[in-house]
Amino acid sequence: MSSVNKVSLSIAVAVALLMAGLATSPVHAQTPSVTASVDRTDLTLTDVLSLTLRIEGVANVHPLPQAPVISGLILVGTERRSHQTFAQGSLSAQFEFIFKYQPLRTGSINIDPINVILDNTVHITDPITVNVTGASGAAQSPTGGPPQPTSLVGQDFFAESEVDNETPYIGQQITYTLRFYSANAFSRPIYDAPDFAGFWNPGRSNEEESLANVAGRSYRVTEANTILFPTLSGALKIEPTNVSVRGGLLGSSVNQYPTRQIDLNVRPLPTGEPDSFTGAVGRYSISADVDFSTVDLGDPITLTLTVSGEGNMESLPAPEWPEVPGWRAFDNDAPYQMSIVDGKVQGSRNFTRVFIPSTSGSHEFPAVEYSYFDPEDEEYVTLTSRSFRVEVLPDPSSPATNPLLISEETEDAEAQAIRYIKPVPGSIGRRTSLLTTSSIFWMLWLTPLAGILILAVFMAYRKRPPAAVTVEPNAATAAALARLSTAEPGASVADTASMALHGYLDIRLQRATSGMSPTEIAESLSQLGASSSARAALVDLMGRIAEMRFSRREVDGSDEVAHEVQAIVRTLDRELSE
Amino acid sequence: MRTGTLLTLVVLASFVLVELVAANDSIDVEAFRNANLLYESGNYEEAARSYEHLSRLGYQDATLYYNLGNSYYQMDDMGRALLNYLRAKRLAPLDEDIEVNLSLVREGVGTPGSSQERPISVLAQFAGWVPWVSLNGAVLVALLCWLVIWAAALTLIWNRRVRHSLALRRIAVVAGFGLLLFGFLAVGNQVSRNHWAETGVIIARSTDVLEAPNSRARTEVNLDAGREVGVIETRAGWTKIRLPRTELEGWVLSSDVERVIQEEL
Repeated sequence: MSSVNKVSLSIAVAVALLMAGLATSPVHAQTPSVTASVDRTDLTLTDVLSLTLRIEGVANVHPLPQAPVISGLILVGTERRSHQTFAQGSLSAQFEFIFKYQPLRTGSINIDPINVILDNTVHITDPITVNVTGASGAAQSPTGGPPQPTSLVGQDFFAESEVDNETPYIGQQITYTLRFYSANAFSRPIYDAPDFAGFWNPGRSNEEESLANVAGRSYRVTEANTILFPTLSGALKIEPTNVSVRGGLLGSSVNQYPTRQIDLNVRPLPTGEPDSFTGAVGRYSISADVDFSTVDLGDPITLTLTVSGEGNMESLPAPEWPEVPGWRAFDNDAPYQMSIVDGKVQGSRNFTRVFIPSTSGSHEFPAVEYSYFDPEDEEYVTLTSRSFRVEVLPDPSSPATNPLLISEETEDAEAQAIRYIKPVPGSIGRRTSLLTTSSIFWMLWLTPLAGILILAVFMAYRKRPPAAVTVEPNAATAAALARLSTAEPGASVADTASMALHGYLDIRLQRATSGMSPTEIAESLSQLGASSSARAALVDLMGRIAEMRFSRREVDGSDEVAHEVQAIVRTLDRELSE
Repeated sequence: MRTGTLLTLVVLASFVLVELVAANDSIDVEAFRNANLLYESGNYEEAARSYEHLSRLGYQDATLYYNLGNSYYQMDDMGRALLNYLRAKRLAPLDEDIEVNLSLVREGVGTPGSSQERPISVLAQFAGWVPWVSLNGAVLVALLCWLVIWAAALTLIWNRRVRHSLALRRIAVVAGFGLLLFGFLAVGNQVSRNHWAETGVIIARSTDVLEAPNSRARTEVNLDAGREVGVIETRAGWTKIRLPRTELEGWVLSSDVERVIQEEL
């Protein structure tokens, strides 16, 4: 075994042993234990009680235990810690859940046993009793001001929220303030703001930081203000804001510090609103202006009413515009600008309306009234703008108002006179019936088809097979027989028979057969359907006739040659006709 | 190439022949001249009557309609003036005089430009570029080209002696181009014809457009003379119209509206 292999084997054995050791670690061998404890049993109304739920003997905790609801105490914060140690060959895990409460009353307060489920087993802690006294002064009011120095004893973090007016009028501005006290300079709070249901939130909030020395300890106080306008009357609530702070080594734990819920009673606007009131709440002033005091008939003017002051500019309602006789009116844009000054929403909004005169003359634009409800003074206020006078000039393009225009129009008319008539044309077109409506016209388009058909028939005719040999069999036979019976002067029987036979074959084969051998003639007849016996007889006969002709002598049976020719002609005639 | 040129000349000559045959030689020049004299003397009503008489005799000429339109214009009958200018424009779409007078009438009736003109298809516009080619002329020359193509093709197929004849091939190619050109012209002419047959003009001083062909039906809108409309159908003395570039349809008395092309297609 090489040294390399030895090293590898050693490493493998060591890893295996380590894994075996880990697999049998005491974490799994331990019995889970759950205990609850408090940092003090005697406390005052301003103290914060830390209830620690400690879990040991498990690798992880799931589900996470929830903060118990304790009568007489209110939850003001949570914290979570975990420790894992490996010592003397065993792994030790410990989880701590710290719930921080503030007393709501004095006297004895019982903390009931806490149920924790671990590995499908319910673990129950022991009950705890704490005693609350009021000896250290007034308790921290949940809706009160900043916590007193003694209330922050023993706390690194604390969150509180409040509104500046818990009984506002609908549409009145209120400010929601969140304060977070932090003794840890490196912790940065993260806010989980409520949705502010029932409020119009312009999304503007400022955040300020300050330092406070409380009970000899320095705190960084972060204050966030959110401006709200109630949009509903009646009971409204603002859900708690959760402030989260990362803690532990390298931010391994997250501590949450919820604020209390804030309940508001939003009052409806009082009755007795003026006619010009359209829903504005706040404190405003108005001004009005018109862009032209003299216009031509048909030209528009724009009346602008500017509303300035404190209030919700974005939802500021438009005024009740007066009807102006002789003018057509159209609503226009209403741009606004808004800012926060000293915690109050301020700004202005320009309501514009376009008017178009339909008659000329001097027109009086009445004053525009604008009413609002002042929640500070709890009364309706009506403002009135100034009135305007607008002169509308007659239409300059109208001839009735511009005598000069008449002559101009006359000149235009002359300039635009129609062009003169045309002379008589050389030929005048006549209305004719359309060729496309004639059936003959469309039939002419089909004549190529007829040409194609004729051509096709003709081509087929030309290419027909030479079946014409059977066309005149009787004529051929008759000619042959006639030639046999009428021998030419000086011709021998063989010559006559040869001429008759070739004459017949010439007609049958449609070609001259005198130059063909008997075998070639037989082959041609074979293509026409002659039997082999007939062909053999023909070859034999032609051979004998040739012999008779070239020998120049009468051989035996020469008289019968004529009969044989007749017979072979009739035989071929029959066979070829079939 | 000599053969191709010859064939081209033959095609053109046949076209000219067709057009000359289509034109009427027995023109009533004297009546036309008299109508013009009536117009020049300021007797517009008599002039219009004379032009109308010629039109009823079967004459269909851009100059005739143009002069008739002028007569109605002088009589302040903008509806009929517009109608006859449109008829003239159909026959001579490139005539500048017609276009000028048509624009003036359109402005006079309150619809300047071609805002109320019904859009016409590209094919019809193509045909309008060569207004001297009538529908009959185009279809006849196209037919001639068609026959020549087939005759050349059949000869090439049938006769072995001319199978490789370059002249015949050129004839077929030239005839093919002719067929294509005059075929498009014929189609464009027909499309243009359909367009004008579906175009009407309100000739009454004022007419109500009703929801139904019934005098008791609700009035949708009132139209003045000279308003160009699309004609959808005619039924028992009522004509259904559509306002150009709108979805508004309704019925008017047939006597209040007249098509640019009156005869049956």
